Amino acid sequence: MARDSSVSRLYHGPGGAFNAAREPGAARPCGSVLSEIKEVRVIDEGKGKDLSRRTALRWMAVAGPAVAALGGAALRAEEAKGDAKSEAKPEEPKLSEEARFTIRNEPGLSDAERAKLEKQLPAFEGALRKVRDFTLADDVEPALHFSALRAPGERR
Amino acid sequence: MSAVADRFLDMTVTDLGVKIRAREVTPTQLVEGFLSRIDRFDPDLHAFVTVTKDLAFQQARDAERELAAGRDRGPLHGIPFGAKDLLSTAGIRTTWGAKPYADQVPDRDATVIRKLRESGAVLLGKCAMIELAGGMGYDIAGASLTGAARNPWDTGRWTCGSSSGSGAAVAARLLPFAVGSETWGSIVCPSSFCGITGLRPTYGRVSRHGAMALAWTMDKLGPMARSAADCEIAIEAMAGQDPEDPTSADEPLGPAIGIDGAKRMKVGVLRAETPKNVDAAVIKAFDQALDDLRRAGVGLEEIKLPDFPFEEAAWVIVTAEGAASFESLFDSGRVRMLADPGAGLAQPTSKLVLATDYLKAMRIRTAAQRAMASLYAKWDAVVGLATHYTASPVDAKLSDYFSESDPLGGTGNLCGLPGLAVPCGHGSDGLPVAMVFMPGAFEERKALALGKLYQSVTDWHTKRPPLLTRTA
Repeated sequence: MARDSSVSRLYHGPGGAFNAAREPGAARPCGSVLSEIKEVRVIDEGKGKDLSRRTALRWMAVAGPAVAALGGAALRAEEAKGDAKSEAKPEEPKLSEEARFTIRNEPGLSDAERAKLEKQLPAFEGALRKVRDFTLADDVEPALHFSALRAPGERR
Repeated sequence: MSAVADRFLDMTVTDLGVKIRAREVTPTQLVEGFLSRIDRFDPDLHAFVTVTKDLAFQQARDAERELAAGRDRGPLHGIPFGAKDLLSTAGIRTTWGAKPYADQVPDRDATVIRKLRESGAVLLGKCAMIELAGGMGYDIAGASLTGAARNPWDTGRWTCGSSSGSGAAVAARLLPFAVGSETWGSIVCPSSFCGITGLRPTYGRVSRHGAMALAWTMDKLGPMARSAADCEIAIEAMAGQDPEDPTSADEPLGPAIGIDGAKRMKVGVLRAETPKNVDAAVIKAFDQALDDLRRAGVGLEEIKLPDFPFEEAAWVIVTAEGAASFESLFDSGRVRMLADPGAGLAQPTSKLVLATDYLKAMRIRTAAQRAMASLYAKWDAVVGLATHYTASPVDAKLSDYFSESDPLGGTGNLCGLPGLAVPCGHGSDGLPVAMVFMPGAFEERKALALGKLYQSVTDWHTKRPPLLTRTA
């Protein structure tokens, strides 16, 4: 059998990123006081998540850039949402120019795959739009961590 | 193995530990018994990629020798287990469930494998999984090197993914427990479909050194077993900071919380939108479970989650990180070797994600984490249905079968929160239904206490799949 030649996709070595946050009180500090106040306000104003709102995501396709399995149900969910609002046929979700370009120019895809992509991408673009449109306070930093790395043996 | 000893194979980790120490059964006998069951049932289930027979006998003999000499490594000593086939095992094929990696043989053990070995657990095999943990997306249950894993409750149904084999093997009593992984749903859903108890730990709770990387900021490793108590035993062995995984957290697991502690807890009930055509028995099972919890003393109140695009942000993050993680697989064209016909579409999709989108999703994550942490200042945990569906037909087109959103899973996985899936009834088709206890970050003990309490007043976790009854 061949030896593993794909260790780059194994977890090893330095890297660090996102960390889970403890509840306040037990919390390790993260972010500014301003951010904390603004975010608590989100809850206090009673803007609870409307659970009747379909998010157009099919969670089953979990674990990954799972677009291949996400699209169909997501589209149906969007259509169902449209149906609930009016009897009129919901508008077909539109593809962005970038998506059209990708579908047209991605090398190595068959016509059938390009057609499938055309069906699936509106749902993913819907998710992207929701992320892009979501308003955050300016001082909310991304959940990333970078730190400078001392050379081995360097004295503090 | 004799019929008498067969009864041991149905026991939990907790009970097996007692029987081993009482010398009613030996680790070697357990290995023989489970191997016999694997021979008998796995051809129908496809739960294993590799059975590590020789290693298992060697480790079982070592355990016997040590126990006889008075060296007791704790409750997992001599207990067989399985590992999802994305965990590196030195000298043992580790396929990631995918054809392009079918002949991969690591030369080191993953940290979690090492830790379980040091706890005296006996590695019986590598469990089947959805290829690359579903990282390229999948629309068929057969998106796996070993084909579709079959559900012991009905072999015409799927186990869910991506920890498919871990779910099937534990449910069919081919193993007392297994290690699974979850990026989004991959422990909770198979636990739900297979009627077992599965713990998705907090992000950073368990070292991922030596595990396949799919999405660096979302991957977690956790135990799948037949009770909350068994998950607790396993996570105690698996957890801990690891210098080889800088994302592993320096957070103690803390002392176990007994069921009396769970009775004083306040739990928020999350009712997600009910999809069309949902089986009323599933909703009824959840309502009954809530009644059982209330009667057991748990304070319950319906809540709403704070308003964040949890699932959308998680989708963007997983898409970007997964595409980066498997860039060479795409670029080499080997992605075409995968079983799912849509696998090649993941990369073009990822090209729509701008760096600013990824960073925005990560900023949403920061804010969402803080909002959830505030919520947990009032509630010990949130509880909701794991999924509104019972196991899907094995030949179903998954995007047709599943149409629900997943607020609990989206929130939990975006924010790195733990979740314990616990069987809580059956659908009208006789297949398992589960609920999930989701406490705050690093509060696995609370979920486990709630699970132990619920399982002390109900017996859903003890139900045996018909496969065993029919043919045993």
